[in-house]
Order: sequence, then structure tokens, then C-alpha cells
Amino acid sequence: MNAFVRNFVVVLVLFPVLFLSVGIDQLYAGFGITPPYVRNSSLTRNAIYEQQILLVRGDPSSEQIAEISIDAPELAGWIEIVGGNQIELPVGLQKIPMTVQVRVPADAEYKDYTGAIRIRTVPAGDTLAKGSVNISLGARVDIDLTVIDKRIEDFRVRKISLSDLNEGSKLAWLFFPGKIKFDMLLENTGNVEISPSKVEFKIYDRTGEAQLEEVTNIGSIDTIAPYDTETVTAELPTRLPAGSYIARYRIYNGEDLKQEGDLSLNILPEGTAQSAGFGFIGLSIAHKISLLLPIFALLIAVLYFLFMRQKGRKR
Amino acid sequence: MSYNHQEFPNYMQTAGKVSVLTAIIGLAVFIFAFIVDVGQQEIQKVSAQTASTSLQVLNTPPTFVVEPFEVPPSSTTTPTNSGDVVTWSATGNDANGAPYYLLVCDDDAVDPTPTNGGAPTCGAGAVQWGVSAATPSDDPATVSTTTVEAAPFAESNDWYAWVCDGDPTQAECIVVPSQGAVPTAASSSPFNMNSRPILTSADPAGAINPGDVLTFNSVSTDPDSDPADDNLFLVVCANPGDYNTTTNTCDANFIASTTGSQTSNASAATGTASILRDGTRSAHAFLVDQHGHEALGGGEDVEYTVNNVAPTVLSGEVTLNGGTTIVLSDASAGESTGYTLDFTVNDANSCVNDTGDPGSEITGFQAAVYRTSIGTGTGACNPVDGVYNPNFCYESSQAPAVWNLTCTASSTSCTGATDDDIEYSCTFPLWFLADPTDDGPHVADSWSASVAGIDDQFATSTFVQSASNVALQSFPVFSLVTAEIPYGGLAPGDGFTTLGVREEDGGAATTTIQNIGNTGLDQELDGSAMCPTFVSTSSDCSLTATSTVFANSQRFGASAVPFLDAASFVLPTTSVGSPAFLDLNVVETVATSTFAEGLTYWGIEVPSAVTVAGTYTGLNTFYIRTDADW
Repeated sequence: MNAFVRNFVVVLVLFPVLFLSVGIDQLYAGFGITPPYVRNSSLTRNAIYEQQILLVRGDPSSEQIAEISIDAPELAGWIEIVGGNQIELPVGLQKIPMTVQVRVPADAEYKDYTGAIRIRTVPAGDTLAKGSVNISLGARVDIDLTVIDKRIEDFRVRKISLSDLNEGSKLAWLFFPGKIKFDMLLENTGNVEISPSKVEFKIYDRTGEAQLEEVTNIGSIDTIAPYDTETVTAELPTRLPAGSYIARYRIYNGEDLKQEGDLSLNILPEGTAQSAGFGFIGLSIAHKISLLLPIFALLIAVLYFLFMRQKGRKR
Repeated sequence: MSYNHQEFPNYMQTAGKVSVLTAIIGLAVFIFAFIVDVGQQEIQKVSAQTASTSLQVLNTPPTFVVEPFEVPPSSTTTPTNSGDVVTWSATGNDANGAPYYLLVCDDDAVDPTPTNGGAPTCGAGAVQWGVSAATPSDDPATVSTTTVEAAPFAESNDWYAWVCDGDPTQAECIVVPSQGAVPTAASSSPFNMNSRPILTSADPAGAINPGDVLTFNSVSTDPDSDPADDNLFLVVCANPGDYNTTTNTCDANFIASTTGSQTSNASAATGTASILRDGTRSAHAFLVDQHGHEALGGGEDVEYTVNNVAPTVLSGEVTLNGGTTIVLSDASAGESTGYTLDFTVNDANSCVNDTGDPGSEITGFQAAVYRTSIGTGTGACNPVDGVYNPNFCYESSQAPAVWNLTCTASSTSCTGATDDDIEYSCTFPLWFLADPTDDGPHVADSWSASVAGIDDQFATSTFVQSASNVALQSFPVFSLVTAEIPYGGLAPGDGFTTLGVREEDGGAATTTIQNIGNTGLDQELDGSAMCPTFVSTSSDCSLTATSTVFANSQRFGASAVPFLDAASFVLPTTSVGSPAFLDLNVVETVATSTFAEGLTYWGIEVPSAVTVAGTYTGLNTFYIRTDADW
């Protein structure tokens, strides 16, 4: 049998090759990610930035594996998936977090960097349908990073809250004001540590018509690391008596007003709330001077006395 | 001129001296007899014997030892309230040691009339304020009279006091009456009577809101004008029994009192608490003059009304999702759950009504969660207009089957009538197609929540938007309608002439992805080689030409173009090259039950070199990516 005849027989007897069309079980079994990007436009050299991406699937009844590939040649060595490039998607879990970490080298060029991370799900083990072109579900994460050489100081106010406080107290002639603790959940959207430059309260009566007091924060406010979201507290003095008020707050970043709004401010009778008031720092300037002046005078007198005694010994 | 006595004769020197001496002696005898009463008996005898004589010593009136005075002093500054008693006290002395009477009259034009063996009376035409009982000499005597707001009592009343005795035969009164020791003293004449003020009516000025000034007005006068009109005070207590006529104020439940000088139509005002339950409140007004004399009638009912005011919501007290980005997570075209909305509803009428039950005043709320540019205005996203859209507007007028906003009022946030707020914690779901605001066409937006409070009378606050908005994260998700690439049966060397059209039966060789996320979608594709021994990757294949159909034998496109058309793309091999992009432009789904779809048209050409018959298995990968311009 010559070659032609042999081939003809093979084709005639054994073919057609069947590419069976077998529907897989995952009808409507969706897959997706959120967010579909790793994005930061204010990275600095040596910065470490992490982005969590959630892998979600509609039908977690079978175990799968998410295979992750990074397609970003310019970012080679900078970017990695925390925990490795394969993530198990166990039975029963619909949401699995994946953390992308960006470590900007000290010599990174100041420019934009783009790329992609691709995630595809494959069945764990031998579960593919035989004789069909199976379909793996996947998603693409866009990488869009910018390394810059300038400081960006900015934040976003995510949430604010106010605790009840005790009214101020008097000790001899000194009045120690009540301490307003104003909590702010802030997201640092810049690339340096930051905290609000000023927090201002205008306090009104309960009707919101008569302004009773205007105060700004005393002391420093804790800073937030770049790209972090944390709660920080501003402390403001108030000399108002116990009562219920409306506080109109303003949060500043330099000259920029980042947020303003209204809150209830409840000042309780002294000793009611489990929180301390202001100490020396909360005193008025007049009261501070009245306290410090005698101390300084005494100090000078003691120094003068010591000086004179020393002088007498020399003679 | 002078005389020389020596020159006279002796008789001349003695002449006259005897006469003078005789006269002097006679005079001395006369005086002696007169003084020593020498011969009295003899004279009496002579008298008795001759004529009788008699001498009657008359009764004399008592005198004041202590001048009369009022007890207590009654004057213009300390008048005697009508109905009270004016009392005089004085001490008299009778020369005979007999008892005496203290008589007080309003006039001294006519002398009083003493009475033998009894009490004296005022002279004709005079008003007798009073007369004491017979009082032993040198003991204090008192006289009193009860004032009434009728004649003969006037605002100022003169008085004159006498002390008289009750001599059985010749009673006498002191000739000059007394008006007190010191005429200008408060305890001296006149005495002053303070008449009651007159309260014609009293009413609240009107209904008030919490925090307003509560004013009570009255129609009221006072008859007194000496030395000036009396000041009037309107005292308002909650209940009639709260007023104390001694202290002239409320023993309890004080509401208001006149301040300053008001001589007629007295009013009283007070600032009210900023948190005050609504409803009618009991109040009674009492009128009292500056001398503590109340108007008759026991007070006027001046019940007042505290208006029901609408609740309020403060922007800083509305927090959507704890201030964190909203991340959808349901990949089965359903709702993601567990998002939070926390807010506080304040009500100046407090959080309780008259029942006192926590939460009885603040009874409900309206809420909306929406993309900010949609807003909450008329026709926008608010529960009044009921414009629900799962892409961008979720509002609380919807039935739970549509939007299941589940809220719980804090059991501890409402502590009573002086507490004005209730804190709510809510959870809610969002559909998979809720618009993202971190990317795409709505990147200038964010998601926000607005809340209005509702009270027990259905007064509703304005819709207040949260001070802090949050982003809703892009959520590209897809599923497959038919998760197969239906190439059908082909012989080596055979292939598709048109993408998506099977040669053997003319059936469709397409795949359909459905957009069950919230972004527009495009697609990237790659695939592995197919072979009969395929398990999970192409490395399971021998990769020989006789038993392998390589990935590049497959082509795809976004439409039914010829197999080798420019719009027909070769399928890249997984892990070898980058996947091929297919600009499907699947738009964002806008209905929860009808999904936006994208079709991929497939074709394959089986190489002639394939000689091993059988079922070939392969694995193609569909990567979705967010459409850049959806």
C-alpha cells in the first residue's frame, strides 16, 4: 500500500476528528476582580505600595487555582504578588484577596509605568471536560504607576466622629477647658506623612443659630504614613458649660478646606465622662502667664542669691 | 444826799423801829398760825359750832407712758394687706391707778366720749378703729382691726389714739390724742392698707418651639397708688398647688415670673430648654403685687403648647459604609450585602413623646444611597419620588424585595426626655451593576447617603447628605452563556471559511459573555494546544504535528468575518505571548435581569498533518478587562 492509499484510509476510517462541544458546569458562574487596577500616581523612590485585589467567583462549589502572570517588563523586580503567583480558590469561598506589592527602587526613573497582571482560573486537578475546548475565566489588572520626584501632601477624610466630653473645671483662679476629641479617619493620598494642618470648630446653640464659641485644635495631630488610612484625633478646648450644642467643623490641609460639616457636641457635667480635660496647655494665655511669672521670678531670685553667695566667697 | 444821824435826838433815833418790829412780829404770828394750823381744833370747833365746808378732789385722765404704735408698722412701704389685722399698742398710766382704755379713731375733730365704768368711744362722726379692753395701769394695751377692701378702709388711714379711764363717776380721756411717738415713723399714723391686685385674664403669648422664649401675658391692674403704683408680678407654676402664698413663688414646677417693674398687665417670660417634648403643658398664672398680696381667684389656667418640630439630621452624623470604599463582591449577578449606613436623627422634641417610650418621638427615617451627581432633588434619588435605579439610586421607599435596607435603632442612644437623638445602624445590599466612581464615566462622582428623620406626627426633616462620601470600586465580572467553543467535527485540512459559522451544519460557533459587573468590558484571549492526551495544560500533549492542533489554528473575531480576514485574529498561545485583545465593547449592564452581552466568533482549521483521530481537548482563556471608553 503506497503512502497515498494509507493516508486516504486513515482519513476515511478514523476521521473526522471530533471536537466535541460539551457544556461546562459553570453556566452563569461568573468571575471577576475588584479593583481591576494597580494605580498610584505619586510614588516616590524607595516607596512601598500595596494594593489588595479581590478575586470573586459566582460558584465556589469546586476548587480552583488562580494563576497570576505579570506582564510589565519595565516593572520587573518591583512588583510581586504577596504569597506567590498561584492562589488557591477553595470550595465555599467566593472572595479571595490578592495583594500586589510595589517596591520602587532607589534608582527608578521618574516617569509613568504601565503593564498588566493577568489572572486566570483553572480547575484544580483533572477536571477538564474531555473532548472539548474548555474555557478558562480570567481577568486583567491594569498597572498604572507614576514615580515622581516631588512631595504630594494630601489626604481624604473618610469619616469623622466626636465623643462626649466633660465641661471645663476651675482650680483656684485657673480654668481648665473641656477637651473635645475629634476623631478623623483619613486616607493619605499623597506620598509623605501627613496630618491635618488645622481643625476648626464653630460651636452653636442647639438651634444652630447663635454661635457661642470658635476654637481650633491645640497641639499636634498624629501623622499618617503615605497610602495608609488611619484614625487620628484633634483636641480642641471648649469653655462652654454642660449642654448640647451643634459643632460646625472644618478640616484643613494648609489652606485647602478638605471637609466641613455638622456634628452634635454633648458636653457633660464635670466628672460624668471617663475622659480627662486639658491641663496646662489648655489654659488661656493670661492664666499661663499668671502661673509662670511667679515661677520665673522665684527662679531668678534663687539664681541671684546663688550668684551673690558665690561672689561673696570669692571676696 | 446824806444825813448825819448823830445830830438827831434819841427819840428820834428810835421812832418807827417799834412800829416796824410790831408789824413784823404780827406778820410772823399770822404766818405761823396759818402754816402750823395753830388752833385748828379750836377753829373747827368754832366752825362746827358755826358752819360746815367741803372740798371734792376731781378724777384726772390717764396719760401715755408709751406712745401708741402699730404692730407691725403699717406704712406705704410695709402696708397691711387687705384682710390682715392692724394692731396698735400703747401703755397708759392712771393717776388713780385705775385701769385704762386705749381708743383709736380716724379723726380727732370731736373729742372721744369717755364712758363711766366702761370703754370710751370715738367722737361723733369719727370712725373707731378700735378700743382695747380695760388694761391695768402701766400695762400695755392693744387695739386691732381687720382691714377690708371697703369703707371706711382706704389705702391710707389716719388714726388718733387716746387713753381713757373708766372712772365710775367721772371717766376721763387724755385731752391730746397721739398719732405715734414720731410722726414720720412707719409705726405712726396713718396705717396703710394694700388692696389685692386684679387679674382679669392671663394667656400664653402663643405656641412655642423648643428653645423659644415662653411668654405669658395678663390683663391685670392694681388699685394702689400711694406713693406710686404697685409693681405686679405674674408667677407661673405648672400646677395650681405649686404656688406658695407665703413665699409668693412656686414650691415646685416653677415656669416663669415677671422681672422688672410692671404696674399693669404684667407678663412673665422664660427661655425654654432646647430639648422639649411637644404637646400641651399645664401652667397656672398667679398675680401678686410687690407686697406679696395675691389677686383673688387662685390663678388662671394658662396651658401652653410646645409645637412639634421636624427632626434634624447633621451631615457629620451620616456615615456611609464606615467611610470606606464600597467594594462589590457578588459574582453571580446578584446583590452584594453588608454595606452599612449609620446616622443619627435629632429631634428638639426629644427622642420620646409623652408616652416616655424610647423612640416614641423619632419614629422613622427616609434614606437614599446614590451616586452624587444624581442628587436628591425633585425627580432625583429620594424616597418621595421613588426613583429607584440599581445603577445609581437606592432609596428607602422601595419594598424590601427591591431594596432591603435593614435598620436598627440603638437601644441605648435614647435615654429619655432630655435626650434628643436616636442612632440608627443599617445594612443594605447593592446590585452588581451599581456604578463605579473610581474609574470610567462617573469618575467625577462618588457615592453618598442622605437621610431625613421622621417623627411621630410625620414631620420630616430635610434630606441631609453625608459630609463624607465614598468611592464605589470598579467590579468587572463576567459569565458565559455557553461555556464552549462549538467547532463541531472536522477532518484534517478542513476549516472554517467564516468565523462563527460551522461548516458541517451551518450552526453557530460563537461564545457569549455576559456582563455581570459594573463596568464596560472588553476581552483578551489566548489558548493552549489541543490534543487527545490533554489534562490541564498543553504540556500534557506530545506536541507532535500528527496529534496536536496548536493554538494558532484557531481564529476569532468580534463579527462573522472571513476566516482569514483582517478582523480575524490568531489565538495566541498561553504563556508564550500576550493574549490577543478583542474590542468587544460590552456596555455596562443596566438591568438586574437582562445582561449586556458580547459575542466572540470562532473558527478553526485542522492542520493536514494531524493523523491521530479522536477527541481533542484544549483550554482557552477569556480575560476580561475594563473597557477604556464605556
